[in-house]
Amino acid sequence: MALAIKVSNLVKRYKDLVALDHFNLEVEEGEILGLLGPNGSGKTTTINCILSLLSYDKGEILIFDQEMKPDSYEIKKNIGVVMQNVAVFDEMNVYENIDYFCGLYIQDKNLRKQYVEEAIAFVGLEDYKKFLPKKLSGGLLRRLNIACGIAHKPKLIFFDEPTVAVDPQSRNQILEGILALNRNGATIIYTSHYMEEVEQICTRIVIMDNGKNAAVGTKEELKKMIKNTESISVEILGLAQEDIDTMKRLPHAYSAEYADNHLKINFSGGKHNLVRVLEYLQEKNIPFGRVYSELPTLNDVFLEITGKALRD
Amino acid sequence: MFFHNFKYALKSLLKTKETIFWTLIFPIALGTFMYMAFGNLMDQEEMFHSVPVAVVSGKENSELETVLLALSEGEDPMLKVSFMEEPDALKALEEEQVEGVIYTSDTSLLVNESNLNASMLETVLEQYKQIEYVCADIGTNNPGMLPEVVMQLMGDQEYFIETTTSDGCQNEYYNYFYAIFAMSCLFASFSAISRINKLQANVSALGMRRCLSPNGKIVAVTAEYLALLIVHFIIELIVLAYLMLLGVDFGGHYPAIALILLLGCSIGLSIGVIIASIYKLSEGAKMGIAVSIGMLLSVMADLCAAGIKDFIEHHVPVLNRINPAVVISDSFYALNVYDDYSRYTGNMLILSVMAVLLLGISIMILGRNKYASL
Repeated sequence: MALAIKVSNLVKRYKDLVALDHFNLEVEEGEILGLLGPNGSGKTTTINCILSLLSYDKGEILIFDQEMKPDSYEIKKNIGVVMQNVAVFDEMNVYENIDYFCGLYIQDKNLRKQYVEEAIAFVGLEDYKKFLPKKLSGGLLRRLNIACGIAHKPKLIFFDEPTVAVDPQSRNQILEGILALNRNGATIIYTSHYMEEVEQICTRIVIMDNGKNAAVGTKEELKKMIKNTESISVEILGLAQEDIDTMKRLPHAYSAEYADNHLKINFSGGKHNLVRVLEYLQEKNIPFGRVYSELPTLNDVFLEITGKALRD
Repeated sequence: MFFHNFKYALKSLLKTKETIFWTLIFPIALGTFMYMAFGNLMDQEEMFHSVPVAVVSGKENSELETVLLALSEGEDPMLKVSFMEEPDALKALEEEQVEGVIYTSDTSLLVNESNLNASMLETVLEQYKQIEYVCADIGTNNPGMLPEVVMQLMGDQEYFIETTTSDGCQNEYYNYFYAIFAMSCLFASFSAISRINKLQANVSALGMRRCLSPNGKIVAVTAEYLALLIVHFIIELIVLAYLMLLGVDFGGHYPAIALILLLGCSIGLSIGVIIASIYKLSEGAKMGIAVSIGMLLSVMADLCAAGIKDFIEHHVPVLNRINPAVVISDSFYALNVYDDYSRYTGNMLILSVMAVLLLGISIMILGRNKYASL
């Protein structure tokens, strides 16, 4: 598979602070790559360096096998960006905003008109063409922001937190839209604080921490990288410390915590962990309520790899 | 691509109410206010009222009384004479009903304070004394010449020949209107700040998005600048037309006036671009700097009070040469007052150099499209 982006040994310093520390990244054409990391991990710096907005100290950035520079206009023609902050003209209406940004890429008037109409339809703003941005709700404004970034049908699209402050319905529409763009052949780089979004749409995920590439892979591959393979929670009233210690020693169990009448045991590997837990409880005649068996989530992966929650 | 940027820059500017207010409505309002304040003064350069004076006849001096009575007659008399007894005259003087008391007995004058009216009364008496002396002297020494001398004294004698170097209007109140144009041109910096902020990736998200487009930044900058220049130039022409309708006489030379306004707008815009490039400041702070600079330079060009420009000219003349507001207002003055274009041409040269220099700096600053931090 050809590479849409190749970043090698990227170093970016802000005086004494190393924002990107020999960062490497490969994005294959046609994939949706999720870029995850806590605040200050270097996600936005990475994107800005890739887009050649930000100068960097060392490294090489190739987009579609060509070196990316500020005046790489041929490459830029194939790039679309949907930024976290809504970037539209307040004094121009929906149609004019999309037409303006599309016009920076598409010079043919008829083709541009077609693209603008398609973008408006894509984000569902047909009824709001003449509306000024200030008359749009938060969700509609986000959709306009997306339309401005993708109207020219780019092959590579960066989405930087596109669903911040968006209602669930609009969020789902945006995510479906991103998947549709990908189905139409666009390569997507997606950053978000919402782990479930990344899990839902990304084919591959990069976890960044301290300006480095902490882990890369599909969500399944990432989950295999961590110790935890299964977490079992059991609702129990008044569990003795002796029982907690015993269950901690069950095969494949590596930790057990009891708090708020809930016992949580984490396992690393093993196939019948839930059965073993239930057998022990029956054997000891310990009454119990609801039981949950959970496979590790990306959040667990993130927490274990970076040592912090995503919003830290 | 240039025309696409240009078209949308024009659209965008015309829809921005702040542009219209600060550069069109504000100068028009200020001009109207000034016209209302100075209207009468501009129409009538000298507003003269008869000076009330009390005359106390101590002894027979019919010649002086005749002269005073003659000066209080006619359509626009110099004096308003009231013959009184001394106590009444002094009372009238104390109550400021009259400006002075003339004693015909000794041809003397009593006034309360030294002012213009007092000087005028004093001059009348001095002139009377001189003529009286001349007549008495000639009558004694050369009586034959007396009729001829009296005839000469009856007419006004002109010892100087007044020649005009210009047919233009030298009304000092017009300087305020010239300064309004200077201020208005400099206020073009506001919309330049607003537009340029939207072009810089390190200042706004919109700037970032535009920097990512596959076009040279210079294309967008040029299109924005040209749109700004056209809009502000037209706004200045509207202000000019409005002031002319009010009755302010700019003395013709309209193509030359248009050139002043064009270069003035260009300088205002370039100042705005340079302020806008200070990326660490908020837009509000940048506007504050632009207002301060615009007002300061305009006040130095006599926008609020006359005399500041002359004071600077006397003490630090170079400041007046590099202050665009002064150069703009002086260009209007030069056009309106002088018949030849030498002073105007010099000013245009200064404005052109300023415009090119500031524009060059602006383009240099805006030309970069990769930043050390965002």
